[in-house]
Amino acid sequence: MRTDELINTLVADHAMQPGPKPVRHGLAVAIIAGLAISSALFSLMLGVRPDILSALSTWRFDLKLGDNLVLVIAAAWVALRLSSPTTTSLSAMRALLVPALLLLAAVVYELVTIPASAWASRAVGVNGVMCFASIISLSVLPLMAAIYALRRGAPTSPAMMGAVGGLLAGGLGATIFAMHCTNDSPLFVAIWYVLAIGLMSMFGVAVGRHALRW
Amino acid sequence: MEQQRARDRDRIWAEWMRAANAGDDIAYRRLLEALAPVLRQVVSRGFTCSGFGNCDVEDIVQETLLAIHLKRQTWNERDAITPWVTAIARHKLIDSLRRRGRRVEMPIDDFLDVLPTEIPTERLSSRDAERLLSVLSGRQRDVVRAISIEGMSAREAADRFRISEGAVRVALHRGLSALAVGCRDLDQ
Repeated sequence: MRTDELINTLVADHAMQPGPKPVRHGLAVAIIAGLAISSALFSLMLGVRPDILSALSTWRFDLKLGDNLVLVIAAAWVALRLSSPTTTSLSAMRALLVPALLLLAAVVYELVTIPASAWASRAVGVNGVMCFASIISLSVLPLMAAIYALRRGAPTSPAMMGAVGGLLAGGLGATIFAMHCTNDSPLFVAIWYVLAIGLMSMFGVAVGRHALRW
Repeated sequence: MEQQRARDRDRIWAEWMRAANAGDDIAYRRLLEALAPVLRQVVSRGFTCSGFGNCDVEDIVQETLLAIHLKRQTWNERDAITPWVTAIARHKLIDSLRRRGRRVEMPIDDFLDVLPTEIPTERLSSRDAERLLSVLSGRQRDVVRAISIEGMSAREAADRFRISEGAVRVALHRGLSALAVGCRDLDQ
C-alpha cells in the first residue's frame, strides 16, 4: 500500500468520526458498568451485612471501605496517565502509594493498640478464603470492562497498564465486598484483601500483555 | 534558530490536530502529510543505527501513521505534540526491531534536530497491499480496499456494497484497528 493511500484512508476514517472520545470517558463508563454489575451480583449472592449502620461508625470499617475506594481512584488516575505514550511508567505509579501507605499506617496502629495475643485471630478472621474468593468474583467483570476501555490508550508498557487495571478492578470488587464482610481489622484486610487484589493485578498483567498491545 | 523552528513547527502541528479534532479534515490531512516525511527520516535513522537497511522503513512509517490515527485521543490538546508523536514512533520502531529479533538502544530522542527534508525512499510499503489486506476479513477488507486503493468516498462505498454509511464507518474503523494488529503479526 502506498503511504498516500493510507493517509487518504485515515482521513476518510477521521471524517466519519472526528474527535474520538478521550480514554477517561470510556474508563468512567467501564467503572460505572463494572460497579453496577458487581453490585447486582453482590446483592443477589451476598448482601450487605445486617449491622452496617453501626459498622459505619467504627474507624476500622470506614478505613476498610475508604482505603479500597482510594485504591480505585488512585488506580484510575494512574491508568489514565499511563494511557498516554509520553508517560513513563514508574513516575506515574506514585499515586498508588497513597492507599498502600494508608493501609500500612492502619496495620501499625492496630498492632500497637491491640494485644499481641489477639493479632493472630484478627489476621485470620472468619472465613478468609470466602472473602478472597468473593473479591475475585466481584472483580472479574470490572477487570474485563476496564481492559476494554483501556484498549483505547497507548501505554508504553501494556503489562504495567494491565497490572493497574487489575488493581482498579480488584479495588472495585473489594469496595463492594467490604459491605458484606464482618472482618474489619486492618490485619485481615492487609492479608486477604491484598492477596485478592494482588491476584487481580496479576490477571491484569496476563490479559493486558496481549489485549493492550498496540 | 533550529529550536525556534522546531517550536514553530510543533505549534503548527498542534494547531492542525486541534482543528482536526474539531472536525477539520483538511487540517488532519495536512498534519499526516507533514508527519510522513519526518517519520520517514527518523525511522530510517533508527534503522541505520541498529544495522538494518532501509528496506522496511516505509512499513514502520505506515504503522506509525496508523497508530497516530488510532491513538489520537491520547494526545492532550494543551500539550506539545512533538513528544507525543515521538513516543508513538519510538514505540513502533522498538516493536518492529524486537520482532526482527533485536533489542536496541533507541536513537530517537527528539525530533528537534530533524527537519522534514525529503529523502529518496520508496513511498511504497514492502508488503504488498493485497497481502496486507489479507489480514482483514470479508466486509472490512472490501471497505478498506475500496477507500484506500480505489479512493472511493464513504458514500460510494456504501452504494457499492449496499450498506449504510454507518456500516461503512464501522467496517473502516474496525478494519484499520485490525490492520494495526495484522501488521504486527505479518512479520512474526
